[in-house]
Amino acid sequence: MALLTIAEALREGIREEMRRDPTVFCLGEDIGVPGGFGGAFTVTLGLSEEFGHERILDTPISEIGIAGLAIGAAMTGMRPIADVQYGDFLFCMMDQLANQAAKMTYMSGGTVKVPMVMRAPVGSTRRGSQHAQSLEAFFTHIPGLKVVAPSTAYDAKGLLKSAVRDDNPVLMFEHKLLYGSKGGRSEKGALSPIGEVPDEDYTVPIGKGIIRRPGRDVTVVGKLLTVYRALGAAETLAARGIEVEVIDPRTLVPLDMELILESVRRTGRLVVVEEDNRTHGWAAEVAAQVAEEAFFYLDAPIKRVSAPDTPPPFAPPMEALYVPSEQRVIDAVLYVLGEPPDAR
Amino acid sequence: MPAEVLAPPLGTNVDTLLLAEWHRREGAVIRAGDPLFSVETDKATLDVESPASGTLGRILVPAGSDVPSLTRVAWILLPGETTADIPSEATPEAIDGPALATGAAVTAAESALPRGDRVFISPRARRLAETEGVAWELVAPTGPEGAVIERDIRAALAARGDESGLLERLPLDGIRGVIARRMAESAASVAPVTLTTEADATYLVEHRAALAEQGLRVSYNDLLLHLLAGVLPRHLRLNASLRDAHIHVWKEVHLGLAVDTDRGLMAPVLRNADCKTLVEVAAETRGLIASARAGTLRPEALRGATFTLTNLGMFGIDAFTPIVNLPECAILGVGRIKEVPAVVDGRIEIRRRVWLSLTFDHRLIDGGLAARFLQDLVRGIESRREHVVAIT
Repeated sequence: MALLTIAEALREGIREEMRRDPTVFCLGEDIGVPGGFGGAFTVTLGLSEEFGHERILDTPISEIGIAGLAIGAAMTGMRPIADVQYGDFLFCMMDQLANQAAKMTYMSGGTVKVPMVMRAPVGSTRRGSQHAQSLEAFFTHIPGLKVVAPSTAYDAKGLLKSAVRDDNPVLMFEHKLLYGSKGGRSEKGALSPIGEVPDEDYTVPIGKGIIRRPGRDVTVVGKLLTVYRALGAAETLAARGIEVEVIDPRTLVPLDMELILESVRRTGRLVVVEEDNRTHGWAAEVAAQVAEEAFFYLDAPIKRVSAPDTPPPFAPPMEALYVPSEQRVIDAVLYVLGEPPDAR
Repeated sequence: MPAEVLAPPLGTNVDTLLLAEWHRREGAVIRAGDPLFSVETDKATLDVESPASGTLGRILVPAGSDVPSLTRVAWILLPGETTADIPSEATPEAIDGPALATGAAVTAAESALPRGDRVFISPRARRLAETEGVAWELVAPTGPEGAVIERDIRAALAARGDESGLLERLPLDGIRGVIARRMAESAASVAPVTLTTEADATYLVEHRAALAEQGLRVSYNDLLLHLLAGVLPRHLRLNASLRDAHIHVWKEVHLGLAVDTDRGLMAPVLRNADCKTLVEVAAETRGLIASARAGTLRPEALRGATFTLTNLGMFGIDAFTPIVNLPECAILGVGRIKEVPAVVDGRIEIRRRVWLSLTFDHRLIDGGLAARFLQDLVRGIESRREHVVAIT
């Protein structure tokens, strides 16, 4: 058992999978250059020393190239772990990802597999509109992609291993404020959760969520950073006698709706917190499924706490308004409980 | 503009009516005159017809709600209109209000408010309320936007006592609710005094039999109503009601007749009884009783009584203490007519006698007035009459 950051846990996961399976390799921009960061957020730092530049493959700055290379390798028997420096750059590879990787198994009648992993950092961290988006909802809408979003070191390593071993393309979203990256790659305002990670081989199954904090009054579902906003709100509200249950689905596709529904059936109230833009969003989908499947258990309207329908702003005060805060989660919980809002 | 649908005008004694049922759903195509919804008021159920042809655009008051008369309960979309044509529920006064000067503030302020007079309930709370038989409309809401939520139903359940052995729980609503409210009101406000006396009804019985032989079938109620209509004009202080801290003495005699129905007690009104012949009284009363039992009385048939007759003779009751039917001054209770040995001119004879119980509101009159009225009525019952009536 070791205490690791998410970046370290991912690195250990990649290392173990590469040792276990010679078809596993990494590719990305600046992931293994000597004296480099080890990727944008240090995840692959040092791996090229063990595995060499053949398996820690530095690519040109071309996301469509990374995707094409990874997909082709996956279709022909390799298990690539690709990454983009910022999730925003996934848009550069949309055809490769959405039109090719996601559909290949369907279009080939299941004869062609695309066992690739694509890792993408997300989250608003004072990097403006093109290096800060939360794109989870976007990619959960593409049939054929599995989407995971770990928020702890344990889950990061366990889900990475599951993703590598899965025969489908798996998109892994990682939040920049949760990596715990050090040195020049540490992010301002980062939470950097450090967690216990077993030394022995383990996986976290794709499609299984977890209750981060049990509570009887209201179910709050978050993902990535908003899990921590929800936990902070729950702590504040507990002092006022309000017991918030916080659920982290960990995987977004397939989504563990059974866990969420079971919780809502108990509490009768649901707040969904996301950093994505609000309209047609991930929270909207969770809310819709709960309204369909557990309507008669609901004791209050479902509330979403989301980013507004704008690109992430660059100015720090604007960004502070943009990213869902603990207070916004508290407001939503108070609303669904019929309690008066906090005075401002 | 869409046509508005209003709750109908009320009886005099009720402040709200119950919107019992919507016969059509939102979106239904309707024609003017189609039955649109039913209301229960003043002890009757009444179908209200659609005032316009078109589509039932929006129901504003759900079934089971109490509504004041002339409240808007729905909008009917005329041909070519959509729900977007329905005017906003904001009143002109609200729009002119100074607090609504800035648009953004309006939205925030309005969204925080409960949605009008309609009380909402969460699906979870409704499920619990239905399982446990809680009348949630009466529960104090504490949820978001003034909605009833689960904890409110639980609080209502906790307020219940031990219920082991309970057979059923019936809601005190509809006609039962109206009766309960009015009886409680009467019991709480009236200063009731009941005078009882016995009258010799032998001649009345003979008269009825003689009329029947002539082909005119009348009930004792018809005879008594006709008698009351003759006696009350001489005792108008009993033909009165208390309203607005004034005793209103009426010159016309409108007699309420308590009718026992499957749906509960009703008191249809025989209007201008003092101007009617026995034949007219009998015919009209028969119609009122039939309508009351069928639940088809119109509200106006239930309002405006100046005095009420209640008869339990058919159930073998001798005497009882009626409750004044507010806002009237007095009510006459009649028992059964039975054969008893009686002293007539120093001899014992078998006579048919009946107990009369007059309850009056001592706030309006004193015992002397009431007693003289009762004496007068007894004289009327006991008098011989010619066994002929004018057939009109």
